[in-house]
Amino acid sequence: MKKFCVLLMSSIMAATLALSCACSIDTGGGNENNTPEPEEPPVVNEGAEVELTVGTLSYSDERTLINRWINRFNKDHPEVNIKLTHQMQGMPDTTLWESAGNMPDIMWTAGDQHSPYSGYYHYFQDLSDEEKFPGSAEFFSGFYDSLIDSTHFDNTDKGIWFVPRDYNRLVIYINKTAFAEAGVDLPSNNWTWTEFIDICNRLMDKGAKKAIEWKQWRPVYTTMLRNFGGKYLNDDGSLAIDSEETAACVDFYQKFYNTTRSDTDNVVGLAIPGEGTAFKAYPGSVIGSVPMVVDVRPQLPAYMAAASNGEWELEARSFPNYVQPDGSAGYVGAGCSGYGISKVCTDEKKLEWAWKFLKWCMSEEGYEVVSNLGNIVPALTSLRDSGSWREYDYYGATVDAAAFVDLDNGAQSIFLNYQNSLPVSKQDDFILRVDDFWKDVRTKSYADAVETLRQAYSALMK
Amino acid sequence: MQEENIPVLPSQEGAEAAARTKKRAATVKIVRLAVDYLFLIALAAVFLFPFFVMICLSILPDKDIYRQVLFTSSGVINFGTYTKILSGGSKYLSYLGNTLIVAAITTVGIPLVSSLCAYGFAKMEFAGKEVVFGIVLATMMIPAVISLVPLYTLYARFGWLDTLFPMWVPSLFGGGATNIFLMRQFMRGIPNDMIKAAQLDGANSFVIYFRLMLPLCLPILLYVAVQSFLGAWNDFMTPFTYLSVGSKHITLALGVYYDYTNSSQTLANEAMAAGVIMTLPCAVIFFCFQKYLIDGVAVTGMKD
Amino acid sequence: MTSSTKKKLRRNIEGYLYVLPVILGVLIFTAFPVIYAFVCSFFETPLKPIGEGFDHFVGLGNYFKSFSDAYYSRKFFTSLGVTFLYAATYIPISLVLSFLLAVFLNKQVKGMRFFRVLYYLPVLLPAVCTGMLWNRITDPYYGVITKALQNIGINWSWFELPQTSMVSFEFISLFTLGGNMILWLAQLKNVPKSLYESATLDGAGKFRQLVSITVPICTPMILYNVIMSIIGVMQTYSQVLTLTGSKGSGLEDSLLFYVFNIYDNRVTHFGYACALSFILFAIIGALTAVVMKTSKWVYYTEEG
Repeated sequence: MKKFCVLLMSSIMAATLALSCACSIDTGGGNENNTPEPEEPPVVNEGAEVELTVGTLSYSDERTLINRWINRFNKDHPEVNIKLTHQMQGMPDTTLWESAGNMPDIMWTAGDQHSPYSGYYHYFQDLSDEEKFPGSAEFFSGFYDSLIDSTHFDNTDKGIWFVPRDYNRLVIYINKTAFAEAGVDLPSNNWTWTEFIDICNRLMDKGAKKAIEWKQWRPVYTTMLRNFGGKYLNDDGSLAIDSEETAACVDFYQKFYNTTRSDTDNVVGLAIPGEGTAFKAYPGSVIGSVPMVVDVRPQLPAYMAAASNGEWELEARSFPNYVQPDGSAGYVGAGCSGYGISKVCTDEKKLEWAWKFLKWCMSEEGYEVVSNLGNIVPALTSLRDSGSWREYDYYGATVDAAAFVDLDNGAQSIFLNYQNSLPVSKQDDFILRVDDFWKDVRTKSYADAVETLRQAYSALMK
Repeated sequence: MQEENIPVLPSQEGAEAAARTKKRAATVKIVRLAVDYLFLIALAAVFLFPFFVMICLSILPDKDIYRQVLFTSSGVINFGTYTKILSGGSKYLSYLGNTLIVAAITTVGIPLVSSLCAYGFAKMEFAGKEVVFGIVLATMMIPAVISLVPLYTLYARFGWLDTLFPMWVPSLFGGGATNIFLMRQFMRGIPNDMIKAAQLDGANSFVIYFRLMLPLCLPILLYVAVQSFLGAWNDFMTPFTYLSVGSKHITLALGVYYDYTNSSQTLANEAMAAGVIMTLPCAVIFFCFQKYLIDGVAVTGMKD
Repeated sequence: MTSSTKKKLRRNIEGYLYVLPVILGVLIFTAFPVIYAFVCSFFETPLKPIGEGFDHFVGLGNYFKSFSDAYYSRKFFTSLGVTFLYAATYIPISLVLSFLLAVFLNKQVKGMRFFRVLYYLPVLLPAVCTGMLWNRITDPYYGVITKALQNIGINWSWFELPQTSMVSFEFISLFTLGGNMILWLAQLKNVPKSLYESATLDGAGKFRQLVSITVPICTPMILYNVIMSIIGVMQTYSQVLTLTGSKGSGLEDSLLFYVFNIYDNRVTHFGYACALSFILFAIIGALTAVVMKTSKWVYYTEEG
């Protein structure tokens, strides 16, 4: 019995070995291009008189970014020691910290999700307060208007609850190699929606699986809704979803995502929903590929890496200009992340340094420190056309930096906090219900989806 | 079918036929055995398939990861994934350390504590014993999520968040209803005469527990110990709920989830190597203690 | 005080000392959080430190919200549907398959024990590793399995389509059949050999013996398994989370298990999350009661 077991065991092991063992042994890392940039070891100022703690998103890109700033700042200022101590997976984690009595002094926030945390829970301090934060008015005048709009928690609020960090407009990433093979010319940054649809159709004719990977994402939905002239809420907070414009937008989406393609309507079946995976997995030929994706700047390094691994070339273009019926420019959503100073940072010295640190990070000098990470478009208008962020390259490959900023004759940026006409305590919940609405329109009729949203809205406001 | 024909064979050919039948029966037996083994091996291949894939992928060179293959065509075996994970200062080593601390404490502590309680329930007489035992058993029916979430606030008050305490302290308070139940069942099988004899010799109840019961309970103690180890090793929900991302005290299960599940930052081969390393101790322990485990499970399900 | 009452008191104290850990454990780590959660379920409140009070009292509002508020009721009923669908399909399938497996493995063939160990092995694969592994190999663009299936002409979408997600998840869960199989094997050993012998004398075939001897004797085990499976399956969470990674509850909420609802709400709508967990408790209790009430088919042998 024992013998038999040993025999069986060894035969199975031998089979496994034989199958996988080909010959030589290699302990090397393989393709060097794949290894993400290693995180710098932290610079620690032992015995510094001021200690500041920082919390940020848990993704490695986010950690690398803030660590760059912290290390450099610590190096230049031995009297202060800033530490990355907290990591979160989303804004609700700040409530977990609060209930554990363990909040960092400086906290990351998403530009479109800070409202309840600044206006309702009061986790953040108002940075527009000149007494506490000297030079604030001057400092914030350097930022894009649409980003400053997003730092208020509702329509009447004048406070600035965090420092915007980056300027994220929707852009279209393009697989240049696939375009060349299909014989489709690269569009300019000023392309219009009509040109965009035309290019999509030509790519489909050349055998693309779908012309574009279209994110199931709030900013994308909202941008399109705005372009069609619809809106979620009126200024008094009442629901404005049931309109001809929204119906047209929903109709567009339903056709855009439709699985079957017909020649009668030129937007039918052009897009595939997804998060960029189909775009990244280029099969080596335009046939069966998805040669475009809509996304934002922070994803650029990931797309660059995918292009480098798959041996194709990446390019970026502005979001197409959806020219309005009156001839004015179309809209494109722009948002940001940022860092706020939390309510636990009350000590005068700490406040002073936290403010100094944030002002330095989001300065021309600070942006230089992180420019070669490639995922940040500075939030300062003065860096729109200059700064080393524009020269970012990934092992020699570059994309057009102009795609990421406002152009004089392209789509205009809008501020996306559509929920701001609601009381702060209701805003987050409303966003979730709107997300459901967009899920609904893919499976239900427009009327049903609107009715569901209306019911959810009235239950929420009760 | 064919065997049914045998009785109608003419009797004068009996001896010859009998021999033939015997031979045929032997062949049938061998064929059946072969079919059985074939089936067994095929099934084993199915059940071992995940392990196999994991190991194959873990030694794939980086450039083959996106090619959707199990074996590299270049003939290169890449152990770099393992050295990278296990090299000094890697996060994986700190996960491993935390997990080992928790596993060590619970593996030793749970069998001891639960046997102590089980001894009380099995061999001691005190008022309200049945009621208390009933309540303890009833806690098995309460879904863990109910207490998992509110315990967060309690642990916050204790200052236990982002520490290893939530992973092992609660389990030392009794060691879990299932374990107590198992131990009690086992102890009830030990004759009271032995205890009476020991009592006559002047031994107090603790001496009886320590000197007499524990050695006799060794099989079930081992079973509970191994189960506790596996439980601590694989526990995901507790660290997931009470440890924040990036905490120093993240255990293996949570670390592997944060670092390797669906993360575009790490390559699949490295993720698989992490998985292989995490699985290895479980497999080794199982192979060493499989007798106790499999027999122990038998006790679990039976007499309730 | 007489010496006998003194003795009694002493005995009681001694007994309670032994079970003290578990009493404390139940009070602190089960009773307290459950009561706290129950109280919280009547308040509309985010997660707050203990002792800071709650936002406002809403009575049974949190319980009604699952039925009356369109947003919550959709999530609630979707998650119930998903969980029940999984329970209703997975429990019977896994019971039957593991039973058949056990019957097959109950043969007296050389090396059987070894195969049992092999079949049990996937149960030991940590859930996080299983999740990570299948997450990678079923990836639509880079997955090995996806490609392998495509090569033999099967275009299975795994978790890329809502319709295939549940089946895929159940398929992956089936790798842990070994756990139930071991329980069955233990039970099969308990069937008295004499029963089979007399049945053979009566001319009953193998199948007949299985249906009228093996299954009835195993019914207590079936009952135990069904109840434990219900409790376990209703709390499915980490298996899905580690498998789907960033997709969370699956496309179109096709894998939105009940506990996802509780976890998603636990920070921002703590009171509602508590109410949800008590609804879950009630559902589990009700299901168990129904199973127990209708358990006339369970056949208890004399000693049971």
